[in-house]
Amino acid sequence: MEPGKRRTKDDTWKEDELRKHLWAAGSASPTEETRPRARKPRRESEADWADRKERRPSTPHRDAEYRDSAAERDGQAAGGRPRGDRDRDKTRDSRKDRGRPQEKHRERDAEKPHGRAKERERGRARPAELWQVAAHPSRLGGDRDRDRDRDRPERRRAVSKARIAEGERRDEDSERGDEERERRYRERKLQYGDSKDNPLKYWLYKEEGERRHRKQKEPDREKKHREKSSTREKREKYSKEKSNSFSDKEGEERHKEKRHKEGFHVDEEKRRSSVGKKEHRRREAENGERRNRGASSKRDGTGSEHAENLERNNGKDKDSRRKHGREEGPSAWKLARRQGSEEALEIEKEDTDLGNAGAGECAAGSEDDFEGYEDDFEVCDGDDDDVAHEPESEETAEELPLARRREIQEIQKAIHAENERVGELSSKLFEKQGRTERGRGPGPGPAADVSPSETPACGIFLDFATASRRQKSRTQALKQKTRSTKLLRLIDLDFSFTFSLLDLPPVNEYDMYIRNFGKRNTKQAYVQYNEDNVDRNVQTEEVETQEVWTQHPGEGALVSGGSERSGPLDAAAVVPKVNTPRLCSFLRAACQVIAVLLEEDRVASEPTWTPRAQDCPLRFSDSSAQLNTSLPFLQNRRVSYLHASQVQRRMVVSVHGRPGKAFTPLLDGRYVLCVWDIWQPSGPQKVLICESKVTCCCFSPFKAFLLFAGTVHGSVVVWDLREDARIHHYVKLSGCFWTFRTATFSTDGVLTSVNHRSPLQAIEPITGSVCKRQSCVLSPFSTQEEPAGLSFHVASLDESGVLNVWVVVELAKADTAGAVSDLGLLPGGRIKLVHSAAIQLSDSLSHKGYEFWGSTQTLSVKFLPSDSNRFVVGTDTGLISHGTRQDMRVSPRLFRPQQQGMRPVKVNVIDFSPFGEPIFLAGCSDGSIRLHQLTAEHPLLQWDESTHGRAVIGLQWSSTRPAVFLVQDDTSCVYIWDLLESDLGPVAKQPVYPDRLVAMTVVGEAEKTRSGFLALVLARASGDVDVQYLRREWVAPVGDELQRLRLLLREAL
Amino acid sequence: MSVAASFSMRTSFSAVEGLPETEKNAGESENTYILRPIFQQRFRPSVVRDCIHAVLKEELANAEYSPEEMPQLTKRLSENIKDKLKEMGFDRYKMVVQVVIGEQRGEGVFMATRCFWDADADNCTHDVFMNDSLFCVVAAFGCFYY
Repeated sequence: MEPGKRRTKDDTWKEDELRKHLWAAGSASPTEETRPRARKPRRESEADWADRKERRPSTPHRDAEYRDSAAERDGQAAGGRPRGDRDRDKTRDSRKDRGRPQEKHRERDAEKPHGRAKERERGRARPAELWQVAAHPSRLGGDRDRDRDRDRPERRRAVSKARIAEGERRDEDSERGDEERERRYRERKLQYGDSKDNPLKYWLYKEEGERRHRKQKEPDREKKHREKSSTREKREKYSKEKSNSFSDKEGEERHKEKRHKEGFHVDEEKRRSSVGKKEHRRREAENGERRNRGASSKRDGTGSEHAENLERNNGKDKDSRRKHGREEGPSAWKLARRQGSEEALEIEKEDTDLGNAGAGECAAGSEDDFEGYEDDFEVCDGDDDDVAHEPESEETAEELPLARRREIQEIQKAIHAENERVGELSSKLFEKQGRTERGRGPGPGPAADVSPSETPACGIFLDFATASRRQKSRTQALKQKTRSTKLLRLIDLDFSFTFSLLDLPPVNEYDMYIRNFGKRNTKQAYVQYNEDNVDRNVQTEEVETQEVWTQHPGEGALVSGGSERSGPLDAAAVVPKVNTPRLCSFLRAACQVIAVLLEEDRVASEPTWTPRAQDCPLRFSDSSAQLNTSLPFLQNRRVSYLHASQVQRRMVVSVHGRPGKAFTPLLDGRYVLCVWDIWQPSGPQKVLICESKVTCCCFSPFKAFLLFAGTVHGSVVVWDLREDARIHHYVKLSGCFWTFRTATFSTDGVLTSVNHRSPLQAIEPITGSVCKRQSCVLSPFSTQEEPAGLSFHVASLDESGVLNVWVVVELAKADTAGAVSDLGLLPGGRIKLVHSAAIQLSDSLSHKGYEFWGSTQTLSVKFLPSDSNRFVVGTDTGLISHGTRQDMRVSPRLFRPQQQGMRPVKVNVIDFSPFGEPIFLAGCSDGSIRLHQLTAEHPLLQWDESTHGRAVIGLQWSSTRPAVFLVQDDTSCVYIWDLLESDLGPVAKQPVYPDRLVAMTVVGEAEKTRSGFLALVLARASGDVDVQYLRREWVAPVGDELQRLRLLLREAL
Repeated sequence: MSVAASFSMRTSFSAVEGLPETEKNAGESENTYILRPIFQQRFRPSVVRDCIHAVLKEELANAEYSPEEMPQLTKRLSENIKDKLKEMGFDRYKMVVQVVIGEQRGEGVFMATRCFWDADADNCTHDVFMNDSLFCVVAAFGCFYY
């Protein structure tokens, strides 16, 4: 709705605007407020027109008649007067039409039939004003107006007088009128504000409220209308021709329903209407006269008009009468109606028992509302209008200033607006009323006649309670208004900044998805309390363990245990401290012992085993043993060389030649070396194979775990006996597994620049330290380890007098894949030889004028036990060269035989005394044996014919007796020398036959106790190797043997 | 999304003003305006917010959005809060409580308010309650009667 909308708009007005607006409201310039309302109502009026037209389609002539009548009326008026008058009249009329709509409203409200008459007079130009009825209520003056109503006649008179008196004070009046209008406007506004939708509704609402208050229902309203319609009908009776149009115009339904009720109303109403009519007529006349009289008396020039009015009132035709009615209406009819209403009240009281009593009351109530409003107009606008009216009637237009006219126009516009607003009807009731009026409006002449009869229908009932209430609210509203006006001067209203109440951003799709489904497949699997202390998260306690043992199969009462006892004791008991190296050495030794014992048992159980029956028993031996050379791979091989370890005296190596006949492809064509322990003659400890013929060999000093050998091809070969058997050939021969070890390192083919080019004659270890042998040889069970590192060299001597010294290097780690740099090394082997020095002995031997002998052949070499730097070399010239590794001068340079002159005598064997005496023996190929002192060039003793000229091929000191040595000649005879017993010849001679002796070596341990032994290892031509233990007399040393030997040697000098 | 909103305010001016009839005449000669609220009775947003919050927590503790119930709920809430505010003794204040409840379905929502008032005397506050199914925005305005 418009007002509501405007209010909201007002709320957002700026402060200044608001203030201006309020001021404007205060100063009551009607334009601003009223104009906005001017639109819709006009439309409404048009609609009404259309409505009216369509409502009387059957009587189109009526319009024409209507128009005609208006024209006639004007024309008549014009005709009845001079031209100027007529003009004036016209203007007045028009002005009246324009300027006094409120009055008209009032008049019409006071008595609708008369309003209709006025309408008729005004012509169809103002059809909308019919609807003023609705607007009026909003202008209700209130109680005071009603109060005024009571003394209507008097006041009326006074008012008219005052009106006249106020003629001059028109300006003031107009201003006052403005004020009044403003006030009304405000009231209305407030009322609108309070009311539901629009003023009409408000009124309807009020009415309904009142009705409700009276416990009335819808029919009441109808009754009221019926009442009205009945009056109308009566009017129709008066005006016969009008009745048609009226009935046409009136909605059929209403008409009918009213008619049917008419029956029992008729009498009363007739009576009422008749009374009202009479009264009306009377008053009309009175008032009109009075008014006209007053006006004429006071103002000149108006009299004529009034007279005319009177004339019209009394006029011949309906128009004039109608006009009169309209003119007179306001005052006259008001009175009449008031009286009528009073009458109605009385009547109603009388008729309370009747069914329609409520209807009357209701009608009165509604009428009362209208009336109150009408009164308001009469008082407020009425003044204004009268002021406007009467001057017009008296002084006419020329006296009106233009401004005034404007003002009037303004007012008129405002009224229009109001009308239009009022026209906005939404309730049926109003429509009914409107239609009633409209129906009556066009009703031409009879209106005047009818009006008196209508008076009873417009009977007024005054409701003071509602009125006071209304007034109260009105005053309050006024008060608020003023209050707000004053306050707005004091305070500042401003826009607060915008508060954001809620800002909820839209969730994107992913978040939505995660919110809905994100946790679907997750599971909390881990939580860490105290996140900053992650390192403490492992708090596993020590696992409690317990050890128990069991024995299977159970052999005693106790098969298990260990659980109940306290841990530490058990642990100590169960896990004894084991010195693993010690255990290993113990086991090794024990194994040997046990093996030896088993071997002895086996030998003892073998009765067939005796020193060969066919052999003559050796006289100097008390027992003998035979090394088992009947092994498959040793069969048909001749032993070419024997060597006994200087350190571990039981260790003997035998060099076997090629087999006579083929045995296995693996071993055929190869030379086999067997390392024996003489205590275990049943089999060799190790079996070594070599590609070329081994001419000499020696064990490593200190501990016999390395075997060096020289070959006829001039290569030096070394075997590491500690090597794991798995890296060597593994052959199963006649039910036993044998490991054939190939050389760990061979100079064959490598180191060609320094290698020997002629067959090797001797190979000797050179120990750095002096004379450790004695302590080392004590026990086969010795657990002492070899010195850290291999601190010894090996010297190899070939025929051509080249003495090479090799450094034995043990690799820290074996490489089973083979070494690239060490080509001679066996894959997986750890020992290699590095050439250290080469000494050309031939140079030192060749000078001295023996050049005609050609190159001297060197046959053997021995290093001095006391000084490893010095060595003696046996040559084929009978001379023994004395040299050092560092090329120092030694004296004597040569050890010569006693015979002068050069002889082709080979010094085959040289052996130093093992007891530290600076003497050595040399055995020569001419059968002579020489005993040399290191300090003398010529031998101490020389025995030329001890072997009868047979070449000495073997010579060795006894390791147990310093004065005893053993000699072997090439005729398979063994000689035993004991210098203490006889320094002229051997004390024993033992030919070995029929199995000829090929090689011999002496093993033995010097022992104070009985366990000392001396044995000869004899290699026979058949390939057998036997061990001959010498008799005790040659084994056990006599008391001061060494002293006696020295004495002997000193004597020999 | 759907939003259910409800206003609760004292609609009748006269009821709020409550000036006795007799003052009507006297009021014209001397005014009874108080241009600034008494300090103790001033509209304090924090207090009001606490109040609103308490009510929301109590009423919406485990509320689920259902379009049928929300209109009643908003009405009840607004009335409830308004009554509570009245009891807090903000004299000469007209209270307006607006409650909006909407469903949480991931749509974006933006709500804002703007007032034309005397910022010295009038004030407003708001509180938001949210759970998985709904959000509830309560705005309370206090307008001073001079």
